[in-house]
Amino acid sequence: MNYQQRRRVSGALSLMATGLIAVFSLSPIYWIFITSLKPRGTEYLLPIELWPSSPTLAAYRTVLTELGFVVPLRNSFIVSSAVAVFGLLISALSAYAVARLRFKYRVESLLLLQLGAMIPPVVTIAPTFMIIKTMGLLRTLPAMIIPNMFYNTPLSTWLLASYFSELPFELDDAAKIDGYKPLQIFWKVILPLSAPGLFSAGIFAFLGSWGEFMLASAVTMGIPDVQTLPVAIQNFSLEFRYQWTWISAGIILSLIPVILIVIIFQRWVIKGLTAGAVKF
Amino acid sequence: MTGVYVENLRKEFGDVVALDDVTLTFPDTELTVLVGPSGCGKTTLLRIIAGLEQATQGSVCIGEKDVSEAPPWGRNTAMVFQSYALYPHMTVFRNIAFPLEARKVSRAEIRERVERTAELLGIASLLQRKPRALSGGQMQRVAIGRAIVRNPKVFLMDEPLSNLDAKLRVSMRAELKRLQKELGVTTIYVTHDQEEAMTIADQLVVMRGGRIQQIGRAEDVYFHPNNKYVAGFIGSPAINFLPCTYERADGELAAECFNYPAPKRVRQAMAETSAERLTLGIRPEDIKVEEDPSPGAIPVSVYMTEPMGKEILLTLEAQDTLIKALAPARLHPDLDEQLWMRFGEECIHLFDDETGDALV
Amino acid sequence: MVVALVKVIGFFAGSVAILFLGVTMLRRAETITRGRKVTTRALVYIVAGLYVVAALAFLIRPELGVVPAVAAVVCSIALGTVLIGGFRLNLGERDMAILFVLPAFLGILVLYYYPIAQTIIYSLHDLRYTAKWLEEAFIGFQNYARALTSTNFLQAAGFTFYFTGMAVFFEFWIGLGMAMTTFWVSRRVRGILRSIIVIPWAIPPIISASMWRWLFNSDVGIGALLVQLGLLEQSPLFLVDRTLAVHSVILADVWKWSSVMAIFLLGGLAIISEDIYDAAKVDGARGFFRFRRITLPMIMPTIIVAVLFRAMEALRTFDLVYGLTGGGPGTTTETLSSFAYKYYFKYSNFGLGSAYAVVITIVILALSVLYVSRIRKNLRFGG
Repeated sequence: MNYQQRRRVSGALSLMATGLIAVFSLSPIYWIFITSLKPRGTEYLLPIELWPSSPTLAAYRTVLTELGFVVPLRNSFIVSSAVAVFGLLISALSAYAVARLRFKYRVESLLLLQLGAMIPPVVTIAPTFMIIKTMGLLRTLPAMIIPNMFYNTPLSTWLLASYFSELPFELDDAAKIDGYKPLQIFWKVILPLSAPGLFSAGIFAFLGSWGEFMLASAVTMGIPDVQTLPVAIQNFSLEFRYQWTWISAGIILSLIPVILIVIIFQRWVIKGLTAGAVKF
Repeated sequence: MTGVYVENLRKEFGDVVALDDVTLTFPDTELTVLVGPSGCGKTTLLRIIAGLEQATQGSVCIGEKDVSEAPPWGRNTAMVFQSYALYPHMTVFRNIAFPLEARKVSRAEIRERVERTAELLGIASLLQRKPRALSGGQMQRVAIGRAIVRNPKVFLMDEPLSNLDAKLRVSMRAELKRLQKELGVTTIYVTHDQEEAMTIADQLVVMRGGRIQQIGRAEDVYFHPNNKYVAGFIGSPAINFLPCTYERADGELAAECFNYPAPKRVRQAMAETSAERLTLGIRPEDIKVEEDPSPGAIPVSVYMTEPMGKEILLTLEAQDTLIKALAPARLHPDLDEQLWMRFGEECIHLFDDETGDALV
Repeated sequence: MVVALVKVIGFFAGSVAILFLGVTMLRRAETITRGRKVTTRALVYIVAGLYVVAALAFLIRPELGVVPAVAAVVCSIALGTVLIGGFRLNLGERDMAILFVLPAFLGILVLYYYPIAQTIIYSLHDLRYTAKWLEEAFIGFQNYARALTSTNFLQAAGFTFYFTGMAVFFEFWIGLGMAMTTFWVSRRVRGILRSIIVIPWAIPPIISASMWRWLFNSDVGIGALLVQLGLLEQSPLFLVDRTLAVHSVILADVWKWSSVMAIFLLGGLAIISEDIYDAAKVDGARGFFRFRRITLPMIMPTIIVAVLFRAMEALRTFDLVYGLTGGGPGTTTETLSSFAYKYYFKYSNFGLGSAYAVVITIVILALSVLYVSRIRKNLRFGG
């Protein structure tokens, strides 16, 4: 077999592998999608079809009115955006200190931060709940914003520290000679240059807090107005246990923002995920 | 007899033509150097011979065998990379042993051959180290060791000395040349450094834009460049190019700053061509700079001086034209000093401005 | 809501500032008193002790911690001022570094370390229906004894470890395949492929769990599809049959988290320069030999870290179990985390639930020691 043929076979095989991966990753979502298009009640009928025989958007209409989809979506957006912005600020500050300032316990500080992230959520939930209760923040959005900010800190800090350490150190020295103080250097020099890294970390923070369930469900205590999307969908699926067309519609609706973000920002997501790994 | 022969090679990367109809013989046991600027196709040619790239058209033969379709591991070539490409997770020993292990050579034989190769290259004491604990020069030798351990038919070298510092480069050059002669293996060597090329090549191939400009021994290419490009590329400091015309009536070459009586060979060549715009080429080392005028000498003033140890590189100005000349160091002129320059008629190169070809 | 947020941020920022002042002054005091009289030095230690007292008091009851904390800060400032001879700050690089790290630290302290300490305290008491451990009986390790001998615990522990082992194993191989495929395909396809790979990761775990609940429906789920295609006789009872349920949970997890493995490994693979592969090819190494001798060893560090990381995450699984099976059938798919949660919120046995939680934390921490030892050198950044 000569080169040309080998190239072509290899190309075909790689496309097949891609197809397999696509089927593996996307078919569950597709299945749910089809289900959401079925008329109510027909989701329990056999045979299984590749595309529903009489597709309808009725389920979506129901979900949008019953579930009040807009409110949880808005809540999720607010929470996740706030977490991304504020959480990034805090992580960036620590990351900057760890990566570029000289102080004795750099590695230990980072370790301490990382160690915290290992702790299972189940451990932290009850006391955190108490703290939030004491601060009178139950059933509010800040109750989810603030803890998530810090849940995200270990990973963000590591990512950003990785990123910052790639920037040339001469920048700091030049700024110091020019008379800038660390805070100014951070704000005016390093931060603007780190847009890609910040972006990656931001997307992570956003997606991480978007999917957080345990704390959100505990803290919102069943009040629909402050529920985030995952909590709302879960409650919806419990309330209408058997209406799978509706539940599927709800799931698809909640997946759209996430999938959009992933597709558009795919490059930054991967960059973020590999930033830590790359150094091994 | 294992020389390498490529015929009508063409390589396209999308719209870009990296190699344009290259036919070339790499003589057996000789060290052929492919030299040229970045992007001229020399590395592409090397990689095609190695089998790492596939030519769009044309064929490659190693010895008697046509290997155009063969994968890299079936061609019995060995390659030394600019970055050395040592396997970072293996010791020096295993790096060198790797090609033998890939061919399932016995352990005992591997050990013997690797140790022998390491002795030859003076790195026997480094066998248990990992690449990150080696200096540039040491890594270089390991890369070479890995290449020679399995007695390939062809050595391919892709700018192997470029990452070394200047002094090391010069000494390694000589060692490589000696090694190659000892082993007697056909070697194809790629570099962008024309000085390096001139020093080590048995056969020199100057390339540009995917095409061969000239093939020949170093002296041939230096003294008899085929075209303006080769003349300008080979030789350091670079040749002086002076636009001129040929005055048929007077039998003179008329440049902006002087007129020069055309030697016989020029007159003969000009008789056969109707070329109008010409370029006169004269190498700095062929110009004699004197403090007193002599017949036929051209008056110049010193524009700039660059002492280079035993010689001094002068930039001379003659009526708004700048000419570089190499002079012995004892002549240390001042700026704007008036001097005289002249050059022998055998040192003249003449090129047709339109085609670039040499006329003499 | 904005008002509340601003209040909290203000409170937090204020705490950071005050704490910073206190710590900095105390550090000044410490440097000044080095080598001085024992009594002055002792003062420094006493004030430092005040901080510890504050932390402990905070553990007992949040309100209690305020007084010692304020006292600690005030004393630090006083001591520092006296020793320096005036309230001068002159913040150096070290001080600024501490200031920068403080917010993150404080947050992590409050939201990770304080809860774990609290939970440990809870686990040592007999707490039912109340978390006020001061008023309840201190029972030492009885909760743990109960837990470790209970079938519930052993069952949950067994499942947790089996689940982790199986899930990580398959996620690794599938992830490796995905990662290698992204290097195999042409550039145009690569972008699309990477998006596709990442999508399952981005989906909230609880939603993924709901998805699979439907897919595992015994009547019209995947089973029915397999029957329709003639591959099976009867649609299996994925979530009802005990063994099947265990493996269904594993499958759902593998589906979601293979992507993370893939991306991790992708990073490791990307570092290997093309040159190395070229050299290997010319050296005579064919496909599989190259993989075995070059690719695999070079990504081994990444593999170890990725596997450890994922294992630690898998041990904590909660969302998947909660959403997919609720721990059922019976308790076959309860993980230690989900069981702890049940003890907290269903049976209101804070003591026992905490014991479960602490056990799983200890296991994870043991793994994390391994993990940290591997990544330690990568935490060393820059000059």
